[in-house]
Amino acid sequence: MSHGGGGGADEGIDSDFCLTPLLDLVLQMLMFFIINVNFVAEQVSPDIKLPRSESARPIDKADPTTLFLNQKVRTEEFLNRLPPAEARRLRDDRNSSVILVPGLPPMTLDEAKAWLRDRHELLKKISPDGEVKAVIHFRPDGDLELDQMFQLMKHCQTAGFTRMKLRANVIQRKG
Amino acid sequence: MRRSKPEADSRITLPITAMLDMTFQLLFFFIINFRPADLEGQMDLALPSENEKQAHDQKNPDPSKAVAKDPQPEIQADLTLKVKTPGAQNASGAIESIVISDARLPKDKPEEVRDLDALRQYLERKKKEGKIKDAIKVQGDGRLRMKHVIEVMDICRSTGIDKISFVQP
Repeated sequence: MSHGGGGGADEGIDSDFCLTPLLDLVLQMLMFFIINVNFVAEQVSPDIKLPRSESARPIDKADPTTLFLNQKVRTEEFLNRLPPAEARRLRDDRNSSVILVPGLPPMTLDEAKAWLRDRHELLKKISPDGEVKAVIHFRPDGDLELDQMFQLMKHCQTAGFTRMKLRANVIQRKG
Repeated sequence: MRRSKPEADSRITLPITAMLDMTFQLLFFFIINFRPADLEGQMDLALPSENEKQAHDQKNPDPSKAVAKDPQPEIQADLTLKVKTPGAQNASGAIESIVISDARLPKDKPEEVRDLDALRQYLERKKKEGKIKDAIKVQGDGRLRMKHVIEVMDICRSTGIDKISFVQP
């Protein structure tokens, strides 16, 4: 690739490529990809394949604090990816689902119940008016059984959380 | 400040090639790693009600004890959709049929629809007749998969029923 100052200068021929528009375009594309790249989403779990919905609304950014609860069917494929001790602990559980909270090891429903209770107490302590305004966002796997999600909802309710939302992938309608 | 007169052939050339090379490498890196995420949306969830479950339970018909434990306001809905799944031998968790019961007509035989299209037609008809409000209760089988629960919710919302509460399976 020539960038000017070539041998043609001696003969009075300017052979410079006009690189500036190319560079502009490339930089714009680069900016686009840098802005839109998401290596690992912050609070969501890549293990979850959300159900698809036509009527899901855009996410409400005004939620004061959001607590994500990813719930997945306990599959052998998933367990094989975990350390053996952790996999054994989850395999021994009587329920057929696993709760995934970013930053924490996978939990059984009973463990999630205890964690939710502790979490609610902590949020209550740090809240200035003693009221927990946190919103639970459920991210269930599409293949999860309703009974499993219901149990998790009940645990949230027992812990003291009152506001809950269900996440789903929005089906884009054409036209 | 006086400037010396520039010479006729003095041209400043920036070394763009190196920058362009690096930019292209970065661009390829981001193109390869670019995976547009699915657009995620949210749906409001009404909490499961203790007294609702007990009211459905024939062995314990008195829901009064559970009311105090349940701080959530109850959504007033006349229609309840009972979503059934195939039997134990076929644990696909798909929808087999949907039984629609009306709390105002407890003596009437509940209507049963076989698929989601039939449910949509039923709800649209009832909505036109003004026989349903904007609230409904959904009671699914425990084995019902969440993707099918969402399908039922979609049908309800598409017919203008926005308040959907769940009854314990």
